[in-house]
Amino acid sequence: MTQNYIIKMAFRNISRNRRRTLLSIVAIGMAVFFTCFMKSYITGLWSNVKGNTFIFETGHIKVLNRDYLKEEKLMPLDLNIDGYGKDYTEVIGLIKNVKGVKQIFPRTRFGAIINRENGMKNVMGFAFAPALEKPVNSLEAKIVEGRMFREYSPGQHEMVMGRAMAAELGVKTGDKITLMTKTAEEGLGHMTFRITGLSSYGVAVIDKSFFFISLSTAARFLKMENSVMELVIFLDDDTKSRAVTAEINRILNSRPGNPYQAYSWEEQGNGQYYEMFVKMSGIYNVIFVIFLVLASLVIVNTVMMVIYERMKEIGTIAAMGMRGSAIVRLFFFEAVIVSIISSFSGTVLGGIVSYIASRLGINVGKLTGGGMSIRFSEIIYPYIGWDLLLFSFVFGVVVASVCSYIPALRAARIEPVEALKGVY
Amino acid sequence: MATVVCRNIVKNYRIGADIVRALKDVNVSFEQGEFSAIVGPSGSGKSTLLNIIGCLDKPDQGEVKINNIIIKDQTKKALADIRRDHIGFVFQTFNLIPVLTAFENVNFVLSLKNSGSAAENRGITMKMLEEVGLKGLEHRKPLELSGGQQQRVAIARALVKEPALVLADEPTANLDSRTGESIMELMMKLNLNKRTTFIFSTHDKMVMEYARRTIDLHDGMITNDQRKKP
Ligand SMILES: Nc1ncnc2c1ncn2[C@@H]1O[C@H](COP(=O)(O)OP(=O)(O)O)[C@@H](O)[C@H]1O
Ligand SMILES: [Mg+2]
Repeated sequence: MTQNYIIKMAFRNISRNRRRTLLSIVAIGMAVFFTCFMKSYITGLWSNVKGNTFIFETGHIKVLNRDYLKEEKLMPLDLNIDGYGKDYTEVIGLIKNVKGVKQIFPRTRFGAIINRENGMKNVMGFAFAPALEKPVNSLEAKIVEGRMFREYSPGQHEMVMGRAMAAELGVKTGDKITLMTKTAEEGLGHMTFRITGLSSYGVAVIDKSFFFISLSTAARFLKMENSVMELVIFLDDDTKSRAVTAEINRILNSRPGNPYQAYSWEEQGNGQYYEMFVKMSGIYNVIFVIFLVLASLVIVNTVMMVIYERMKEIGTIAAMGMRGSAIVRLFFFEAVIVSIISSFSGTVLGGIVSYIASRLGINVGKLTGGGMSIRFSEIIYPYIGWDLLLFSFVFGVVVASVCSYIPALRAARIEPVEALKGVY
Repeated sequence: MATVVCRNIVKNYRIGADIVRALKDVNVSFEQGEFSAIVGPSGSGKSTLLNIIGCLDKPDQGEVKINNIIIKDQTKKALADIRRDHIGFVFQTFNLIPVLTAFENVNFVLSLKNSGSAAENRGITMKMLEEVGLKGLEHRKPLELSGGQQQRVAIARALVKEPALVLADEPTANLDSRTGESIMELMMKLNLNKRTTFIFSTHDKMVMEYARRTIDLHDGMITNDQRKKP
């Protein structure tokens, strides 16, 4: 029965000093709002960078010729994957049924040079099987002008080029362009391509320096029939990459004299990608802690203020024989109601803003300057989901409640005589 | 049987280096049903004594017994329970809970005891409010009541739980003299009807007239203790 009065009093006390209640709601609500939106934005950014890195760099797992990494900087095309006597599909056949493996993409990435009047430009060739990669990486969907390249046939050497690169080179769809490269046979190769289309991934590095060709075209250009540079593996679940990598390596190494090895995305590039992801979550945690501290200060202060203001009432109800624990509950309950209202408002607002941003996207192209080695897309789509909203709401309520419990405990420790005097 | 026994009560306050001796060896007892006034000038120790009797404060020395319970070495929780079960308070500044109605201010005290059904407690509360002359005003909040009406609510709140003892520290000091008199009359009536022990403090001549026992307090010492002849 006392509980009924505690609830009744808590609710009425909230509307007692409306301006202050509103102030706490705004303060806590803002903290929750920013927490929600920041998390939405960073999650979106994170999954964007992660996605781009997975698609263009690491896959979830990558199979390479073990010796390739030793000379990676030189991009030695002779250290490739050509199977165990026949061709690279032998390796795919070996590992495609490993549990957790969803897709395996044969790819060859290579360096090439374009000769221009004012010097040479280094570009990056990306040879792949578009039909196979379509569900994960659809170049076709990124073509903004012209059409896809076709497979190699004599006299038909086609490429799709990043739009920013075309602009820099001053070429357009339909133009021909000659590229030079070092072949797998260590000789110098050159080929003239027709540009059939321009692509835009919205990722500065890709759009400025990548061109795309078919694997069959690359085989001719690079003189590496039957072989590719890498097998990029996508899994059902990217967090399982280490375990699946171990299994793949076990299978590969069961072939005597096997020269291939699988690398999980975490261990690729000496762990730099993994480190980058960890760092990015770290940035979020810092922002998160700042809001946490700010919100906590507001809450502790407000509850303290409320307690000082009602000192005489605390004395009175203590004189009536209300126990300390019930007095704590009275203030705690009031603070919890306020934090539920605040967190709810903050979450709703954060949810709406994040939702809109997740639809429209946020253009960060100017922020990143385009020169970043990190593969930000120019437009980031913040993440929105029930888990995010639930997290923000629960976060707000828990933090606010914990922060109000501490000063509420103080209310119970005050001696009734002191409290009755109204000053403490 | 004495409701309250105070034996050798000493209370000192320390203000910086100074020690204020608020009560110096006070010995006094109150029998059940007594209607007593503690009288003395401001600063003589009236509030200090009432707070100690009311288990709101602890003496530095001496012993207090309420209804034969020794108020010493009791935990905070036990003291709260003693106040809840045995002592009603009436304050100079009324001290009603502003967010609760007159009815709720009184009913709240019963809810603390967790005895009786909600319906029973409602009945008791309404009857008590009627006894103090507030029928029809039970839904008003304290701010919608006059000072005299607020003090009536406070008296109802103190008495509704049928305590052994009601302590009233200068209950009329914030009221005009006519309202003060009606409050004193109300307390006297309730004292007669319920045989509740009343102790109030005052420095007002008019209020003293109502007391059947007057205890003079000067500089923390009882200088005179006199019962009116019936
Ligand atoms: N909390 C306190 N701290 C210091 N001195 C106090 C405190 N409470 C009361 N006193 C002092 O004790 C003496 C008695 O005070 P009090 O009991 O309030 O007297 P009365 O109620 O008769 O006016 C006064 O000198 C007062 O200044
Ligand atoms: Mg006083």
